[in-house]
Amino acid sequence: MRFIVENFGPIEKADIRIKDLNVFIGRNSTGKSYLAYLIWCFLAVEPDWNKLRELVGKYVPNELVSKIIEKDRVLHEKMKDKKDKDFDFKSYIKELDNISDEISKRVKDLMVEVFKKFEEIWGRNLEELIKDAFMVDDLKELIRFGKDSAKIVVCNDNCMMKIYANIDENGLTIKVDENVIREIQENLFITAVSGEPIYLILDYYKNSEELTHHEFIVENYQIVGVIPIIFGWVFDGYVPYHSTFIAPDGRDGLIRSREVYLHALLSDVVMNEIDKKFMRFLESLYPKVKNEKISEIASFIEEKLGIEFILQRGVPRYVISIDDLKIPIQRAPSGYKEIAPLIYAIKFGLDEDYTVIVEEPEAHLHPDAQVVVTRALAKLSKYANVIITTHSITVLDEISNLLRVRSLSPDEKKKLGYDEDEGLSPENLGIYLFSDGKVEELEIYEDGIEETELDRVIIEIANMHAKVEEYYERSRRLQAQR
Amino acid sequence: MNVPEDCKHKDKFTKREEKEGYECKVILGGGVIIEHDGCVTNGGCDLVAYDDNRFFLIEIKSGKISSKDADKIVEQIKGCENYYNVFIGHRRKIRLFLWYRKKKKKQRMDDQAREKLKRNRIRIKDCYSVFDLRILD
Repeated sequence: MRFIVENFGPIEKADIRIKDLNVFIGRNSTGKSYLAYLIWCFLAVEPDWNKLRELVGKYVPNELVSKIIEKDRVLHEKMKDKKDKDFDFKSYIKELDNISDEISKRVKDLMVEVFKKFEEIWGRNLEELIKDAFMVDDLKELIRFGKDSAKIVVCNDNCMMKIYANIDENGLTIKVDENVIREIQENLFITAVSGEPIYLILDYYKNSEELTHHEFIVENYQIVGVIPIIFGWVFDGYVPYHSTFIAPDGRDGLIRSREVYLHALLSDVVMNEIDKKFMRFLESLYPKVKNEKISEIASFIEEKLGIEFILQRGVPRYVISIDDLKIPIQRAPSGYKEIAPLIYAIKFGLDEDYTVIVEEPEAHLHPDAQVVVTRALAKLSKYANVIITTHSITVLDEISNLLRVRSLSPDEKKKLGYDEDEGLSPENLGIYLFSDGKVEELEIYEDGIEETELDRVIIEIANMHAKVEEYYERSRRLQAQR
Repeated sequence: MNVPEDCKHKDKFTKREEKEGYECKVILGGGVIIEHDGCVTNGGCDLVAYDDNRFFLIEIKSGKISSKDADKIVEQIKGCENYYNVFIGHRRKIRLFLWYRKKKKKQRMDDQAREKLKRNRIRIKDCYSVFDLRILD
């Protein structure tokens, strides 16, 4: 999936193709968080459920689905029974086939209609979500200074399939490109097979050639399950109302004042939607592992940092254990408060195919902990799309390092303290440099990454230190000569 | 300046205000640049340059800079530094690594290499084709 953004906030132009691990770097106020939040809005937006239900009801009514299920049941009974000699199996099956064909056609028509009515189903919610996420009353406040409108294109990797969004003084308009409708009409094949529940077979010839296949069973409104699958296929992973976890900046503060924010959530006090979603996600966690493999990543961090993050059913819910000393999270050291939400999410909340956005994962962390968190995020990127913003040279250094780690043998990795599954490959990593309104994708090599503005800044700081040393040295020398 | 008479590369020593021949041409208006070419200190840096106030110990290299490269750069600059210590006198000693590059884009310096140069107070500057030492204050 890809996001092309023009004249949004500080960003003049950005073209981001979401890979497994995506790193946004650049000076303050260059638009890293703006873009991360915008991407989150497009992913997290809920449909207007009433409109969607109405549409599904119109195209694939429950009666039709119930009818085929009932007929299939009768058929099976007759087949078992075999006593009813007058039962015309042939014409009965034909009738069933006709209903199946009818359902197949209607599901496809539903998909076409969903794309045609994208604005109606998602548009208004998206507009409100963006306003809530950026805390603006009018979307035009988000348009780049001096411009009339902002444009956002969400598309597949080669950008043949597009969703256009435009923000101007009238608000947000959004439209799915005609190409997508044509693509669905020509290259999507849906076959419904009668049964209880119905068996749906989806075949999509991506770019008219590459076949993608999926089969699943549906009952009544479960037919909506087709929608995210088709979105994902057409837009290379982009699905509105996608599973996301966003960890905004200032997590330490949010955690420290957790009770206040919980009260705000319950009292419906105006609150940034990102913070709200973050707090809700955290509060909704239950001490039960959702995905074993992903949860192991949390254990990896805990082991490396020598600390355990405990989620309890009772109060206090979030507790950290350091050297057998248990502390409620609100009183934990700031660095641990910062990473706690990420660790809890990894441990109990995340599943495969999530999109995880973490602002400055390095915040409040000692460099060795930054390295551990970077390694954990790289591990996580094998299961979920991970987007991070960072100002940390340590994070960048470790990412460079992980590119090299990939080509080491399992024995060598073990010797160096890396797990066998560790390492990053260039094709799965995207690093974007934000500067002066532009967003540039940096080159990733097998053994490192292109020099960044952050590297140049670090070198200039070192040069300044060297300069101070030069003056100091000379002054000492002159003093000694005197 | 005290350049050893028995240096096997003595013919290659040049004293001028500009030094060409490297892909990175170094300029120092009103000063003297001496090409070392691995002499004087059985290795030594690529160039030394000086004027009334500053004494530059310069190493030039292109391409990727690994940790080993950084060790070499440090060693070579130190070699020159030790040799010229007496001559430097009142001048400010500037240890300089000129990173020659043919195009704008290049791979970032290995973090170990960067740390080694930083620890040894060696300044890192890019050189695209010409580097004017006068800009270094």
